[in-house]
Amino acid sequence: MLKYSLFLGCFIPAMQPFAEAAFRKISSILGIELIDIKGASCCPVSDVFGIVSYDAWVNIAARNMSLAEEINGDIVVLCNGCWDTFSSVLKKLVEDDNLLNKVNNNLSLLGRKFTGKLKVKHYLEVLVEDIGLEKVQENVKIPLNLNIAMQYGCKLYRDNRLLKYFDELIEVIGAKKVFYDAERLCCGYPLSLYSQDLAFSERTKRKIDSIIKAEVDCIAVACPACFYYLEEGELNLIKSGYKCNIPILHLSELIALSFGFKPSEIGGSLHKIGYMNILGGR
Amino acid sequence: MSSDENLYPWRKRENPLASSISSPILRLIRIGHIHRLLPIMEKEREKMGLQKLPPSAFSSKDAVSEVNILLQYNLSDKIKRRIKL
Repeated sequence: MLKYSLFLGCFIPAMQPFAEAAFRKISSILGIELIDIKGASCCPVSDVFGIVSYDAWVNIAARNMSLAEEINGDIVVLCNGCWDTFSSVLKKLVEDDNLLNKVNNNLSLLGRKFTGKLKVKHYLEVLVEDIGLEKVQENVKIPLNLNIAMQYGCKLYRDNRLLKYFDELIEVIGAKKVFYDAERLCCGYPLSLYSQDLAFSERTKRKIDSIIKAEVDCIAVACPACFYYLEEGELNLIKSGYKCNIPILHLSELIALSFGFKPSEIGGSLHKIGYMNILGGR
Repeated sequence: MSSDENLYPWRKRENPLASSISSPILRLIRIGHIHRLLPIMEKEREKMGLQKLPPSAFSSKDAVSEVNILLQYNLSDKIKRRIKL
């Protein structure tokens, strides 16, 4: 059985627990043991802390990773933002002994130490590299037969492997990726820290418009911030009389559905844009 | 006006940080996370078989204290002033 320290972050446990429930369900089927990281905090988010206080960003990320080291398991994350923070900070600490010593001086105030020996993995890596596409495919009971718009998330573009894994996983669960013009466009979250209006008009709305033209059944995301901004964006458009009702699902939910779990078992009713209509009466 | 502003009226003012930036920092200080877990969501978590509160800073005051110690040492005085800490 493969063992990982599960880092949930902020968005998923507080606002999108269906993604957590789905990942825990598929992990139990695939033989992945998940150990919760007790006392973990926000990663913290690079779009805010990486800019406002680099030192706070590095130290708090190192504290979270030191908690995972105590469990002695590599970290698996369900959020592109957490993956970006941990993989970036880990690289800096491993390459710079002075920085590592400085961080460990701070962590010693808490009675903690970080060695940098753990690995940080996005769950896409765990599913494709550690478990394998064949094993995922073996467990597919209901191929999804859906046309899907992919929302990779900006942070994922740092690593082409992860983009490829996302595509491959969509394929093995029996769904089809449909290209749309604004695929590479950001969901709008980082820009919203500067201006909500600009983020909505120049990012979220443009993206949704492009997805509507592609006539897909749903949008697949690997990032909770993308989920939040696209869902809120669609709800704003619906309020202003727009005709858009495209469900957004985390990849973990799509995999769980293909494994035969019912929407009611993975918090399907918590979606503000329901997805039951695309499942053909399940 | 602060005493510095009386003495040096032409110095550039330190404006508060935009709420989109200061709010996540303040929430990290208060609860260790940048989003709150509302009671209604705690119930929904239980309904789908998850722990009501994850064993993270959402349920650990010690974790929040540790984060605060690190922030105290690492946030600059300027940022602390700009978020009115």
